Amino acid sequence: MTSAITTSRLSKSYKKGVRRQQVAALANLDIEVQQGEVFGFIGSNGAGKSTTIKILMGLIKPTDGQAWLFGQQASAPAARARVGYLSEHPHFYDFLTPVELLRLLGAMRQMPQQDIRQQTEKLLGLVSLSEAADRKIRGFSKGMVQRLGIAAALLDDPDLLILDEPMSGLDPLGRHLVATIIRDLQQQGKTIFFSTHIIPDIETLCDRVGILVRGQQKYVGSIQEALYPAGNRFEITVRMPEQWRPEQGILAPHHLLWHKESLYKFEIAETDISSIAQGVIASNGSIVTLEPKRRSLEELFLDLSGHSEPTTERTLASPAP
Amino acid sequence: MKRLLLGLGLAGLLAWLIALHSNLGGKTMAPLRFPTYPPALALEMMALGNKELASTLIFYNAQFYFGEKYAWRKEEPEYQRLFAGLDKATDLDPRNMDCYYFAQGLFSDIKPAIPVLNRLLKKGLESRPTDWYLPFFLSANYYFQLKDPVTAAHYLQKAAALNPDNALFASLSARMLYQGNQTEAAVLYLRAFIKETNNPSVQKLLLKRLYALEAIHYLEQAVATFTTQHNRPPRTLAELIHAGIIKKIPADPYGGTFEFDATGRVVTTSKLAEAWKDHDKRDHNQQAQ
Amino acid sequence: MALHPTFMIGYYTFKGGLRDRLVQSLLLTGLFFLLSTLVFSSFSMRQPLEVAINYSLATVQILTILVTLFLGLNLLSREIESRAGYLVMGQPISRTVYLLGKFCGLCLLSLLVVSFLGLCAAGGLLLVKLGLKDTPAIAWGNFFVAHIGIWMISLLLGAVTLLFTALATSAVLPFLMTIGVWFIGQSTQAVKNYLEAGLGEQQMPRFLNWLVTGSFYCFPNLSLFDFKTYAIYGLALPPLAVGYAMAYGTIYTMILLVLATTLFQHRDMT
Repeated sequence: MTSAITTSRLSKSYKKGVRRQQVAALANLDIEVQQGEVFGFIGSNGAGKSTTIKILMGLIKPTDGQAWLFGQQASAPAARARVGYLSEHPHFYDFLTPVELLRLLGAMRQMPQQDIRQQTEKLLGLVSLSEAADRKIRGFSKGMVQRLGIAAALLDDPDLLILDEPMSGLDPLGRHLVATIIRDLQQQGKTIFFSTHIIPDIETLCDRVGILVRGQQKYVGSIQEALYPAGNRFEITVRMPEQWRPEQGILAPHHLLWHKESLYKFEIAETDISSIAQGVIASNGSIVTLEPKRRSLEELFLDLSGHSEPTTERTLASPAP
Repeated sequence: MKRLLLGLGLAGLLAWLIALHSNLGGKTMAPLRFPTYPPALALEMMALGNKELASTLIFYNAQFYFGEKYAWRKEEPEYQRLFAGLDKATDLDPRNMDCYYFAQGLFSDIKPAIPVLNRLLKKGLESRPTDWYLPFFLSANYYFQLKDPVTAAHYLQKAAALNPDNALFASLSARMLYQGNQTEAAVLYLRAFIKETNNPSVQKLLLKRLYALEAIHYLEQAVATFTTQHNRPPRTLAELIHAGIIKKIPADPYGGTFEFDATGRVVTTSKLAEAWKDHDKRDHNQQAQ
Repeated sequence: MALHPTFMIGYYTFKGGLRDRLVQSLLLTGLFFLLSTLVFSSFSMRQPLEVAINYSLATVQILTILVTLFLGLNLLSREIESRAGYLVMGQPISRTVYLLGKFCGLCLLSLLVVSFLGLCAAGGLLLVKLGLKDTPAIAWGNFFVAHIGIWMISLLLGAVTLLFTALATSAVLPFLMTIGVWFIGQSTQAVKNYLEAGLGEQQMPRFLNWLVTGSFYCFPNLSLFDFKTYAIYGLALPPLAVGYAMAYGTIYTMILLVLATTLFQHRDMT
């Protein structure tokens, strides 16, 4: 089975300013997204996420390297036949209504009229725009436009969805809606590639993530591994008897974060978990929570920026045929 | 209540201003000048492919200018500038008949303007070879102003050939070539010309000229009667009244008086020829003084 | 009915143009202007009907070109500059199809505009003619050909906008540059005639002469499509001139389209 997305040493640089200085927006990106995978593409603003997506959609040409969608060169129009795309801050013909817009897109994809009608009805219901189906897009709110964009991307029942910041501009309800849609699609075996800078989305949705820092690929792999790497520290909350004092016993060398009445929270190392658990039980105490100390996205980026060499999950095999 | 008073006060003030304006009359008006247009090539470029419209607009401007200057303000029009404008308009659209007609109406009585006027009309004749007016105008100019009856007859024949049903040419050419009565021919020509115009200020200008011509014709006939009765021409026009041939000398519409010139012909004191002068140069001289 | 994507894009461009406020107001202005033909022509001394035809054809020409320029700005340049183009270009269609579709829509729109204004003009002329005695017959055939000429100019300028849009990254630049081409294209013939008549040889430096000749061959010669004189004065139309103009316009437009699509292929949609 061919990969849904493959890139090989994908690079893009722009000439900027009067001196035409080369500014690298993207350097040597190697990613491979398998079919059926949900792949999150993370990076701060200007990290090169949109550049990558635009290259994949054939909107811009890479300065170096190549990109394939289902084994076809991304620059070829036919490569987009199985792809649904949502751009960042989508902007539609605002003189049209959602129904007309979807009819136009369906016609461009050579879909049968019957299918267009069915899909339009179904998808506008899915993104809760049924009531606005015959209103001009001109009067839509930002969230409505975003949801319409998702419907437009899903119109032709694509095998691969490329979504640029699908959660931006959405209220919590809309965000929940999109998350649900992505999960449903994942269950249908669709491939989803989306960029975001909102961490909770990624944690719950993605199988794997790629992290970009200033155009450089810093990490590709499981999000859990990135956020909770080996050697990570844990936070343990314990309930201890009244006479128990933190200065005594097994927990004494660990850092006390806070305590309230009989509840104590410590920061501990992964290797100490079992000995501490035994000690707590031995002191007639009980464990209330034990959770890994999660890194914030900022910490993660800072951490990744510190590395000079990109941390790759593995070296890529030769690109798809 | 206060607002009502304020409103009434303002209305009163406005009424007073309007009354003041009409009392001031022409004193508050800016002087009216006819523009000097850029060269025809520049006009054509500015017209963006609508040179016929540009030509019409220049003609309209000339027409409105003349109406306001001559008929309303009663000032002397800047004839040379007007001619230059019409010349450029006909460079843009050599078929623009309005321009030729207007030019003939304005300039045919200004002797120094006749050479350029005839050049303008010949430009028109080239582009409108089937229009009988242009040879008709040329014929009149050659006959009355340039005293060239041969060329005049040539153009009149041309006009007659283009419009064979019109009886005007027969009577006109008869008077021009055989009877030799210039005044009668001129009256005939002018009547034919006036019949065609719908512009009130041009009509006003031409009617004035016609009245003068008719008065001259009337006086000439009286002089002829006097001459046959007394076997000598009258020395002054007053003699005609004394002899009982006419009751009074008609008024000269140009404001002067009719008199005999050196050859004994009746002429008006019209200073039309002086109107053809270079306004730019005159302005310049005035400033220099 | 499954239309080719080019025509679908064209159809929706057409729709967008019809719903464009600016275009609607320009058409209304046109209607007003054509009604004013009655007043405008009444000032003529000798040729009110000719002036009426002249005025209405000029109105049709200027308005059609203005509408084309603004449509080019709103439907081509603005769309490509804004992200609305992403939506279409994210579909499995080539950029050539996209651009040609846009051009088709523009053609259709300007055809509609020129026909609408032409019909209004014809109505106005009939009204003018009703109020006049002894006027020559209106040369309706020439009147029609004059409109075809106007349409050709707007198509050519539409293709020019398309070319500049494919090149430029701002929306207003192609609009302004097309206006420039319009101005130059309307006057190259006149300037060349002027030079060839030997009138300007004394004042004109040689390089200016070259410049004029160069622009004559480089810029579209829009005077070729001007059949207004024939319509105004009811002159016999030389079929060769009409045929030549049509062939010239078609070939020039096609060259512009080929250039535009080629350049657009290599453009980054940032």
